[in-house]
Amino acid sequence: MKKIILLFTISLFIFTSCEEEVPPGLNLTPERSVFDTTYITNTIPVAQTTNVLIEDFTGVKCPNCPRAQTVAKNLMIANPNRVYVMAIHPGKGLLSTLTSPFKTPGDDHDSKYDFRTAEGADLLTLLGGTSQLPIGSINRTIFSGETSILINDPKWTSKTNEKLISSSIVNIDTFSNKGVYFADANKIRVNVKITYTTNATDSQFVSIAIIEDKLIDYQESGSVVLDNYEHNHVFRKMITPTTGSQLKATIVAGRVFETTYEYELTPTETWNKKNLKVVVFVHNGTNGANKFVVQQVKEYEIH
Amino acid sequence: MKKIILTLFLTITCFYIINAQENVDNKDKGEFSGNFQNTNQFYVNDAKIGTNTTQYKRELSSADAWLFLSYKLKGFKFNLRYDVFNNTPLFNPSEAYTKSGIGIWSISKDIDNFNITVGYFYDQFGTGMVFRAFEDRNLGLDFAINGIRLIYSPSENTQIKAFTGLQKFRFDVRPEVIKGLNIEHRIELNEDLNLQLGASAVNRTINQNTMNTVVGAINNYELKNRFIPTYNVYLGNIYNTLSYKKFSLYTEYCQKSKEAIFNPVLDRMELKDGRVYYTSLSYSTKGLGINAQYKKIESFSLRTSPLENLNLGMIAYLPSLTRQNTYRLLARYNAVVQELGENALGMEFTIKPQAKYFKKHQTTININTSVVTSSDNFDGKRINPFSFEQDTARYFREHYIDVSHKFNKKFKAMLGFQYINYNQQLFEQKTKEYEYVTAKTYFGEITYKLTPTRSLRVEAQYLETKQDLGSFINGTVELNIAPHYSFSVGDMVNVDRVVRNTQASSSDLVHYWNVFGSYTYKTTRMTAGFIKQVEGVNCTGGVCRVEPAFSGVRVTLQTNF
Repeated sequence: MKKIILLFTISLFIFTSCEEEVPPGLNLTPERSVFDTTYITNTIPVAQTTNVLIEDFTGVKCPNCPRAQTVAKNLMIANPNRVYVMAIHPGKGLLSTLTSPFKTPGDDHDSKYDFRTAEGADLLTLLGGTSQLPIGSINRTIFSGETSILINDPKWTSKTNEKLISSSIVNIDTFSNKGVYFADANKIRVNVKITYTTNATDSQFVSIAIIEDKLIDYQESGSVVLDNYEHNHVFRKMITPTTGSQLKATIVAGRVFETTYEYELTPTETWNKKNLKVVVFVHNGTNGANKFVVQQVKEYEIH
Repeated sequence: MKKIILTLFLTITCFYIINAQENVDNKDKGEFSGNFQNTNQFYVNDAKIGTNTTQYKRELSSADAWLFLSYKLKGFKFNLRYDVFNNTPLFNPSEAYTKSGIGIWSISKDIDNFNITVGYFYDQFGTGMVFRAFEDRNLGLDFAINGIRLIYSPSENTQIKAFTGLQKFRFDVRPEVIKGLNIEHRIELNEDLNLQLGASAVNRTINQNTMNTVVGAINNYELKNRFIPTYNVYLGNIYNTLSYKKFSLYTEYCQKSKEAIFNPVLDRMELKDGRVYYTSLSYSTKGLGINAQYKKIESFSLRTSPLENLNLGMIAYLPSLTRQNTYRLLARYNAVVQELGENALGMEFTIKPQAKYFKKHQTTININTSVVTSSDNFDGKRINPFSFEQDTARYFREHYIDVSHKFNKKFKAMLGFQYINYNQQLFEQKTKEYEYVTAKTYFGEITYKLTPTRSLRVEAQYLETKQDLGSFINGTVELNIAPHYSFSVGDMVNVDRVVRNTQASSSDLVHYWNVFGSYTYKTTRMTAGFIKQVEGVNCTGGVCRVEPAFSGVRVTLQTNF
């Protein structure tokens, strides 16, 4: 008995010396903004209605994920230019079995792409983490009766409709004639204008992501593997830190932020530029009861 | 959950009480004990002394109460404490906090050489510098751990402790997991020489939510100030008490791994490791006691998370080695331990002259001197006891002497002097208009026995300073009627007043008077008083908090059963 208790005691307090991973969302690189200004306008524009961002955490070996993607797609069709989707393929730990590409040499199912990103894994951790897919967030909100930001796809439709009827506290637009465009062959430039129509007490952040459409590759669906599944809204890269870039000024009605962000595609990022889009969303910070909540979202094609 | 625990505890208690009553012959009836403490305050606004917290404007009264119950039976021990806070300023002087419920509960059991506790417990490793779970009701601190603890005592001279749990925060727990292991062993080499060795290891892990907030803050720093924060921090210490005849030498070294800690001077977090060196040497012989202590702290802050500050979430307790004064004006300036870095040196002498005359009159002289400097300014200039220049790097210095003498069976007296240097901006986070304080305090006390059961005590202090709020005089007259009653009246007057942000004119004398009475019956004590208390730092053993001025009625009740 004594030995059992002693062993149990020691087992409780063994300190591991394993190296820790870098916390998600930590940004140790310079900001990608090349221009920014803030001012208060006397002409407060009409508030935009709230759009919805569905962050769909998905995987190519996840048999139920196409079902969730269909839910998201139907919401986009039913609400044109009001609902936007980012299909995020996280890829750490247990989820690897659902998200890793089909890569068996000689196998019929040999994926062309690996959609997984470290930033996608970070986003999942930031929003609460999970060991199951599909799962997603609707404007990163913990809805009444829910305990987590991440909810199952059968709830997405009602929660999206709930969000769509409200007015946003902030408008997202672009400034300058070009808006979002390729400044040169590989450089994406985003001129984003953020205008608050109402005061805000939570700290405010802007996040900008690059997504890609029309990627044809394998996808498990139910008990079969689909050969030519079209993967859309695939999350590729955050231009801002995964936690967003803070909008550093007192947030009052009429407050405007104009910022130009630049991102240069690396040689390994051989994405199809014609199918790339940029998602811009403004959200609360990492603190408080309403942390992370998305206030407004817009999607832009890259000219 | 708490209701279930309360019901369970009361059921067990009732069952055993009934069982004990029915089986009067049963020898093991168990042992029931407890205590109750209650403080009620009624607030009377006094703009002259600067009372301005919410209780003076809205709630007008507050109450705190703790009922602790303990039942022991057959190696089991059941503890439960019910806490009541109504509009209390205890946790945050600018807040009126209201909530009641089970504050702590625990069940422990002795099994052979083991003791197992589940629930909330208080404990500490060594001096507490790597881990101390403690409670201080006066300061509104309750750092109980909710978890499991095992104590193994393989022999009389050896003890091993281990625990894991979460720190209590009001009626909840903080989410960060704390683990610890401690071993102590006593070696008696011979009659004169023995060692008491100890070593500890502590680990704290912050959760993802906390890390998200930490990361969010770091991302806002300039790029050169950003760093990778850690989820885990590890602490270890080794300590030893060596006793040889009349000497006792205590040494302790604590080390802490790198973690994000908040630096209020820079107003941002930094990634730093830390350490503490502490030693104390004491010598005691007939008529003379000497104690000398030295402590060096380097970035040794451990809280439940880097987002906590001041007295919140403390896991490591850094004791102060400056004198703990009890007289009202002598305790006005206290050295809050500087966990980001300090050097401290203290010496204390207790002298009882052995000449026949002094022995007859129980003459005692107490001398104490201490100095605290910043961590890299511990040099001859700063610790020179005869250097009186105002030096902000010398955070704190105290010279103290008192002499007490019993003239006859009825009359005894004490006289003393205290000299203080105090960096008020540092200790009280004051603005630059608050200058470095130099204060001299002259004090005395006389006690006269009127009858075998009645005595009169008079104490007086004069604090002379040109800084802070200026000079003060304090006097108290106390009549004790043994064994039940005690009454006192006193007044503290702000003479040579420094006027700063107050509505009163500079010519007004500000009185901090009080009238107080107490009644004691067996283990129960009741007190009531009208009190005016100056704004200042309230400290216990180096843990301090800045308290606002108080004006009003305070009624307390304390009993043990």
